[in-house]
Amino acid sequence: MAATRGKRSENSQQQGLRIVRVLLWALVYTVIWTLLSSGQGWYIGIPVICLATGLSYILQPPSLAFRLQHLPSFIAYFVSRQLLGGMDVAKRSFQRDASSHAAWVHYPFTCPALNTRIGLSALIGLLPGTLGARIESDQLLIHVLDKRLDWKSEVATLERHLSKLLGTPEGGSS
Amino acid sequence: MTPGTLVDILSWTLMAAGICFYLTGALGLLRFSDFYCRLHAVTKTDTLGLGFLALGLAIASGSLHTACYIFLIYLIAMASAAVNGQLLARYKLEQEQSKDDS
Repeated sequence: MAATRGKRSENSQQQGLRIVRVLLWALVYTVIWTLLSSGQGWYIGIPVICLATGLSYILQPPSLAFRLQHLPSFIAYFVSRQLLGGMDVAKRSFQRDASSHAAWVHYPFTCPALNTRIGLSALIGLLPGTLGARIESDQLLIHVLDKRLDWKSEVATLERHLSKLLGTPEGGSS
Repeated sequence: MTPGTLVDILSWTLMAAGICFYLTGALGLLRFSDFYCRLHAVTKTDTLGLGFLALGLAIASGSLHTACYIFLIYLIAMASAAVNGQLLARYKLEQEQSKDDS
């Protein structure tokens, strides 16, 4: 009996948390729409906000809360690597054997948190020579432009930075 | 040289750099051998090109409000480029695997 009551209160707590998160998403989408449209076009804005909020409710994206104190170092690291990533592809597009060393590789996650894993799989697409394709249980399938490069330490560094930023447990060095 | 001219030179240089990255991205799209390598070209160079272009435009605007507005658009475009690149790679991979299975 007590166990059933406990389960019920846990369920209602979870439901309450879900509602709070949906309201937060709705607020974020409303702020974005207001900023982008200068507070106009609500006849398009409201359906778009409702659709985006509904999708967030169905898909339940992991939390994007981050630690503000780690944001500057993350931005500095990410912008510098993004710059290198763009320059690397630009240089390769002029080379004769531009993509002859491309390969598929697996990266074993060291961080167990889902939000870090999802962030990593998306953001490595902007780093030099790597493109995340799919999360396969505890591994990330990556397409690399040049398998001879040290792609593993590149991905591991981003994973460490993301873990710090999102406040998730960091794994050991890979 | 007046400060206005310096701002013009800086903003136009940044915008020209952005256009150059877009052009190299288009070149990569033509020259890279397969779909996945082309995705590298599109996601990385285009995002960087947009970054330079956005920075140049923000400086040229001379308004903090417009600069913040451009920065917000850039953040959204960068996030969607990162996510779209991954989704396209996953979709193509699954398509190829289902073809191999059948």
